[in-house]
Amino acid sequence: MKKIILILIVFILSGCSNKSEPINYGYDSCDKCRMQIVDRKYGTELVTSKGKIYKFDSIECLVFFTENSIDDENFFTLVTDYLNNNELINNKKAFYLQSENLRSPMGLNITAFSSQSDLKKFKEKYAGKELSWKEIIEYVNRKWQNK
Amino acid sequence: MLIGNGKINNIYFWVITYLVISIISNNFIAKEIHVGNEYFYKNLTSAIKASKPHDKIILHKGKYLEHDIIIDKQIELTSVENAVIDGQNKYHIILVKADSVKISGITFINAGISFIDDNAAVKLDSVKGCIVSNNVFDNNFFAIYLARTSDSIIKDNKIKAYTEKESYSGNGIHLWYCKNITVENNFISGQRDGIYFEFVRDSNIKKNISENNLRYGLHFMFSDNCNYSNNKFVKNGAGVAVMYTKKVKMFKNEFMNNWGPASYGILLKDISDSEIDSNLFYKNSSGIYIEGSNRININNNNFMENGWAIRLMANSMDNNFKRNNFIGNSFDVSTNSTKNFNFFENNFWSDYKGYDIDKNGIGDIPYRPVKLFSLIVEKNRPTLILLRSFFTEILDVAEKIFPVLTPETLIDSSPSMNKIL
Repeated sequence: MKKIILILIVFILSGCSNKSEPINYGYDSCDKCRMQIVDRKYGTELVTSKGKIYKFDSIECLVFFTENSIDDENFFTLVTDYLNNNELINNKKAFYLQSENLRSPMGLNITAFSSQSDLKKFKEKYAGKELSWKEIIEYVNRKWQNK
Repeated sequence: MLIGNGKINNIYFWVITYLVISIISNNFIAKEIHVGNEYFYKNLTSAIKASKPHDKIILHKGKYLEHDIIIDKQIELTSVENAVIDGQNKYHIILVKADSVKISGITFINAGISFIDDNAAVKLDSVKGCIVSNNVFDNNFFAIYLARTSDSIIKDNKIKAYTEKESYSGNGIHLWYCKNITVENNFISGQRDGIYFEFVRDSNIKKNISENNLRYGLHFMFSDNCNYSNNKFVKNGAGVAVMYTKKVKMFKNEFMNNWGPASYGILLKDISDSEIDSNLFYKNSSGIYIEGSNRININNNNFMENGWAIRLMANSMDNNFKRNNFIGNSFDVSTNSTKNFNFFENNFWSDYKGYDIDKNGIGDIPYRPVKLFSLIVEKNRPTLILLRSFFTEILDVAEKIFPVLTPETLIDSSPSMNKIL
């Protein structure tokens, strides 16, 4: 009986927790720009404290949306690792490169990597500038202030 | 002493003449270089290496397994009997790095998929004055790709691809940071976007047919001052998208059968100061979806048998709708707010049930194109199941008598009694 209750509690709790879900490329559309999300290297996601999921086709759309359209304080956001397109990683664990030679769907060209060494390799090959999450927010706000 | 010697003078004369002629013939008289099994040059790469500016390279019949070909001088490349260049699903095929290059009459197949580099059959990078015409592109990742290119023409090409997953396919005609380009009379199908414009200025897209593409028939991003006219966009995954752009003119295009949950004839997102004139919207899920867009004139269009003719989001302002025909659409106009800052004037509405006593061709009572039910659907999509039910008819009749929830100012106060021709 205890086991059943335990299982039930786990089940209920897991039902309530905020989980991300994979992006269905080619079918989901971006909640900021309305475009279909098709580029597997750049899909991003936002999960609110109530578990509502927003999906985006790029880091810039995600950032703009969180800065302008969300009242929630306990949301978390996920970005795609450029080198592992099936994996969404927490935006705080990623490293970011802004390079004109790695072109993101919305033109601000911000790419996420899961490790510093991957980023270094790409920076050597494709040039560009390393950005912190805070710098990305400033950059997107500056570029899209009229949008 | 030498000058006095007639023989030596003679030799001088011939040497100089020979030099002059050889310089002229090398540099100014175009040569034809033939490439093929029966010719000295067996492959294109060696022929290009041996060519001089202004030469014409003619590919003869056959399949050329070549890739990463670089054209770095002004030449003309053409073929007789349909020569085929095959990228073997791995490589990009031709990169043009010189001005005024012409490429015509060639079949390009199998430019390979790549996730980091945009592999294309024909790529033009940082050049001007080029013409790509009358080629066939079959099963390429990207077909024609222009980067930082200006004053060029893409004409009469046939582009086909067969990919089923959007993320594994590239675009048919892709322009990035370009200026003054004409894209005319091309046929494009089966790519991700048929035609894609990103950071393009002052360009024209006309008379193209773009159909069965997985995402958009035509896609504009950040591309100001461009025109597109007389094109057909049929059965694309999600119609045509015009986004983050100013001053676009859209004339005489046909948008047909763009059908699906996120499908539009035109998706307008954050655009301003544009014209949509004399187009046909037939059987699209939504004729035009307008979000965050201002000062657009939408005149003289035909909206026929669409799910929604117009979906007008409340963050759009100062858009004018004049002299359009709205015929047989499930919803003529829908919106997501009771506020409206847009204007409707003198349109023909097939659902208009008013009268015209003074016979001036203009209905005597105003027409309210937004049905209460469409407002409900806009906020809660699953209610769509009630369309055509008696319940929604009661709702709409009640709302007509006491408009409470639909935008009071979204009204055509001078609806036309007759179809506008």
